[in-house]
Amino acid sequence: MQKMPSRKQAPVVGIEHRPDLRPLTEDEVRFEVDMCIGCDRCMNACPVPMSSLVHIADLNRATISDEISPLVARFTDECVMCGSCVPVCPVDNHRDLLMLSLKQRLGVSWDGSVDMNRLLDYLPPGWNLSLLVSRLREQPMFSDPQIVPENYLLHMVTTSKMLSLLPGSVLVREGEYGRSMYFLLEGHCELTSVGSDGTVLPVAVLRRGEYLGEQGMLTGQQRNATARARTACVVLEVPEQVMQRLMELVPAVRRFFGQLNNARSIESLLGRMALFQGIAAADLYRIAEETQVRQYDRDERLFSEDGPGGPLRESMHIILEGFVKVARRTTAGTGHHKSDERIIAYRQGGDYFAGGLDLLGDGRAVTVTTITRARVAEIPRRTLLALLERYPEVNQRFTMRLQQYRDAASAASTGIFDPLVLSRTEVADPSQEAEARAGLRSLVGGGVVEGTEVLVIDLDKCIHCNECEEACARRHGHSRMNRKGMVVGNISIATACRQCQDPVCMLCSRAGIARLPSGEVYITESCIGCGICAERCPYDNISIMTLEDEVNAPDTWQRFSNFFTKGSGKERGHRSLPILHSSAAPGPLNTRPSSNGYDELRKKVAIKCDLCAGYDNQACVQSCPTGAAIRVQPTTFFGSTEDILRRREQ
Amino acid sequence: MSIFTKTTGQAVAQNRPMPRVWKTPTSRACWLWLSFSLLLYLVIFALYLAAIKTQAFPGPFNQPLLSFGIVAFVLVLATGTYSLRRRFARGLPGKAQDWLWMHTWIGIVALLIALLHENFTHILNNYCQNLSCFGNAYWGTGALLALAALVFTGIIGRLLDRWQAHTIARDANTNGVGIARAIEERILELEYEIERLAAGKTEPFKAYCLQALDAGADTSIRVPLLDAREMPDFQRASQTLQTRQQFVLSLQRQQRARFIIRTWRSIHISVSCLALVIITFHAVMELLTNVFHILHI
Repeated sequence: MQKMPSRKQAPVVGIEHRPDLRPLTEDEVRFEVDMCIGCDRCMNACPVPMSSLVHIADLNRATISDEISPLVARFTDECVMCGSCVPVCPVDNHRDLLMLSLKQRLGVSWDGSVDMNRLLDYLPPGWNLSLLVSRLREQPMFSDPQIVPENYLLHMVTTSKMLSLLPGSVLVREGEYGRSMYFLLEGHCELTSVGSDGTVLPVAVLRRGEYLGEQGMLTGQQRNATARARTACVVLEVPEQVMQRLMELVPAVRRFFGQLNNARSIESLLGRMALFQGIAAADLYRIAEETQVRQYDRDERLFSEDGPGGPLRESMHIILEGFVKVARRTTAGTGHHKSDERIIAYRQGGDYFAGGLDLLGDGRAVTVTTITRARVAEIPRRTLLALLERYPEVNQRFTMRLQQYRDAASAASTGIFDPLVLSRTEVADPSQEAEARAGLRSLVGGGVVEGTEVLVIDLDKCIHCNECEEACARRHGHSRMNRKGMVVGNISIATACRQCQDPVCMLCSRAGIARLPSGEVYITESCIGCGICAERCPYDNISIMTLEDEVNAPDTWQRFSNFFTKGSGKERGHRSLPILHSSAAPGPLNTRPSSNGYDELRKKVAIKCDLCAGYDNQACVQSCPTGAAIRVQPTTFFGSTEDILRRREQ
Repeated sequence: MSIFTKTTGQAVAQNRPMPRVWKTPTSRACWLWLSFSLLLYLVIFALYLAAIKTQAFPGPFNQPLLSFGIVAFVLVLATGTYSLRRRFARGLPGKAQDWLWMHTWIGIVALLIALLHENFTHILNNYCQNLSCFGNAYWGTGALLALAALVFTGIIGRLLDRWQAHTIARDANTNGVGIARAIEERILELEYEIERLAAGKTEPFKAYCLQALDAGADTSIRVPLLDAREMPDFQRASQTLQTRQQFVLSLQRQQRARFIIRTWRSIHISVSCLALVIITFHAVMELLTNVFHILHI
C-alpha cells in the first residue's frame, strides 16, 4: 500500500462559504481513493473550466502520492470547493474533502514564488522592488515583516493594479459602490463629501502610507467620500478578493480593519442616536473602543428573553446593520408558524435593546433573532454604567424612555394600538391588525426590505400575459426573472434579484459576481457557474445554466412562427446565452496564463437580474402592457416598518 | 394557520374586499393621451358644429365631414400601431403601457370622429333597413359598425382585464402561495406528500388516496376501514388531500380568470383584423373615388 506523503498543515483559503468542512484523516483519504471507480462524473460536474483537462486518475494519484503534475496543481489551486462533485459520485465519495486534503498538502500559491516579470511590469517608471516594498511597509497593517511576509506583499501587488494619477483625477466617488482598497504609495489625495445643502466639504487629506476604501471592502456599502488626487499619485488598487485572501492568510490584517471599521461604525451611530446626544467625542471614541461588535448570520439568535441566552441587565445591543425580529414567548401552538414564540416587531440598523428589553416597543424582555446578516454592537455593562454615571442626562433619558413605554403598555392593556402614538384612543380591528402584521411579516421576514431595487407586480393590473419574462428572455437569452413570488396584499414580489444592500451572494474568489458603481449586482465574465452565489442567495434569485440546457436551433416552421410571437425587431429572441460561448475570464487571483483555449471554456454560468445594466431601460418594466410590473425601493414604496403598521390601521 | 381555520378565513377573505394599500402608479401617458384625444375631438367637434350651422345638408361627402373621415382613418391606423409595438417591432421607444393608453384613447376618439364624419346618420336616423346597407358607400356602414364593435370589444376587454385581474389578485392573496405557477408547484408537493404517506400502506389506504386525487371535490368517497396503526398517517393524508383540494379550486379560479382574459383578447384581435380590412377598403375606395378622383366608378 502506497504510503501517503506527510501533510503540511498549510492554511486553506477560499473556503469561507463552507464552514462545515471537516478534513479527512489519512485512512479516510486512502479509503475514498480506493473506492473511486474512475467514472469521471465528478470532473464532468466540476464547473472549473480546466476540469475537462484533468483526469480522475491523475487527481487520485496526486492525492495519495508526491506525483502532482502542474495541471493538477493548478486545478487544485483553482478549485473553489463548491461541492458539485459530491452528489454525482456513484460511490458516495467526498471528492470535495479529497480536494481539501490536496489543497492542504500543496499549500497556498502565495507561499510560492512570485512572477517577477509581471511584478516588474507593474512598477511605475523609476520604481524598483525595494522602493515598492518600503512604501508598502509604511502602511500600518503591513509594517511588521514578521506578520506580513514580503512574499505576500509581492503576490498582492501582482494581483492588483498600480495606478498613476494626475492631479485632479478622481479615484473614487461618493455614493458609488466599490469594494477595492487603495493604498497611497506616493502623493496626496484629498477626501471630500457633499453636505446636506449640496456644498462640497473637505474631510481629510491622505498622504503616503495611508489608505482608503476599507469600509467598502468590508461591508460593500457605498463610498462615503470622494477621493481626488491633489498631486501626482501612485496608488495600489487592490481588489476585494485579493484583500480577502491576504486577510485569510494574515488574520492580524483582518483584525486591524475589523476593529477600525467597528469603531467607526459605532462612533458614527452613537453620534446620531438621540439617547447619546451631548456625549463628548472622546467618550464616544472610548465607548467604541470598548464595545464588541459581533457578526451574525441569518436566523441567528442574539439573545433570549429568558434562559441562559439572555443578556446581562444594563448591557446594550445596538444594531449596526441588518434586520432582526423581536419575539416573545406565548402559549405553545399559538405563535408564529404554530411555535411558542410570537413576533411582535422588527428592528433594523440604528435600533437598540438595553438589557434585553425592547426599548423601542413595550420595554419588556424579548427574544431577538436575525433575519438577514447583521452586525451588532454590544456595549458591555461596565462601560454603560460608567457612561450613565458620567452623563446623568443620558441616564435620565433612558429612565424616562423606559417609564414612558411601561405607562403606555399598561394603558393599552385593553386594546391593540401602537404605544408610541399616545393620542390614539380607539381600539383597532384585531383582524386588520393581524392582516397588517402578516403583510409586514412577509415584507420584513421575507427580506424584501433588504433590497434596494425590488421588482413588484401589481396583481390588480397584471393580466398574466408573461410579456415581462419573455422580454427578459429576448434581451438576455434566458429569462432572469419569474413572476412567481410572495404575495402581500395586491402586490407580488417577483423572483428577481433585489440588489440587496448587503448582498450575501457576493462571495466569489473569481470575482464572478460584482457590483457596478451605480449599484447593479451583475455576473461578470469570470463566472464559471459554480453555484456558490446561488446557494447563498436566500431568495433563490440566482440560477445556474449549463450548456446542455440550451435549446437546439429552431426549425423553419418555428422560426416562421417566432417572427409573429417573438418579433423581428431589435430584440429578436436570442438562440443561446451569449456568455456561454465565450471564454471564462480569469479571476483577480488567477495570474497564470492559460495553456490552451480549452481550459477557458465554461460549462455553466450563473444568471441573475442586473437591472438590465448597459441598457437604458428594463425589459420587464418596458414590456408590461398594463404597467403592473415596476421596480421600487422597498422603503419608499412600502414605507418604514412603523409607517406600514400605521397605514394599515387607518 | 391550519387549513381548517384557513377555510373559514378564506371564505371570509373572499367576501371581504381585499385591502389595497400599495399601488403601482398609473403612467403619465394615460393622461397625456387622454388630453390629446379630448383636445382633438373638441377641435373636430367645433368644426362639426360650425358645419351643421352653416351647411344645409352636411354629409360625409362634403367638407369638412369628409376630412373627418380621413382623420378617423389615420387614427385607426395609429391605433393599430400598438400591435407593431407589442409583436413585431419591440425595439420601438416608450413603454408598452404607454402605447396601450394611446391605443385606448385614440381608438375611442377615432370612433367618435367617425360618427361625426357620417353625421350620426346610421345611429340616429332609421337609415339602415336591412343588411344590404352594410355595403353602402364602399362598405362605409360596415366600416362604422366594425369600428364600433372593435371599440366596444376593446373597452369590454379592458374592463374584463381589471375585473379578472382583481379576482386573481384576491385569490393569490388568500390562498397562501400566490399565483397559478406557485399553486401548481404546491399541488405537486402535496401530491408527493400523499404518495409518501401512502407508500407501504394497505390497498384500501392507497385506493382511497387515488380516488380522492381523482375525485376532486367529491366527498362521497367512503372512508375505508383501516388498521389502527395506519390511522395517524391516514389523518395526515386526509388533511393533505383537503389542502390539495383547496389549492386545486384556487388554481381553477385563477385559470378561469386567465381564460376569460385571453379569450376576450382573441375576440378583440379577430374583430380588429376584420375591422381593419373593412375600414381600409372603405377608406381607400373613398379616397380613390371621391377625394383624389383617380377612379371613376
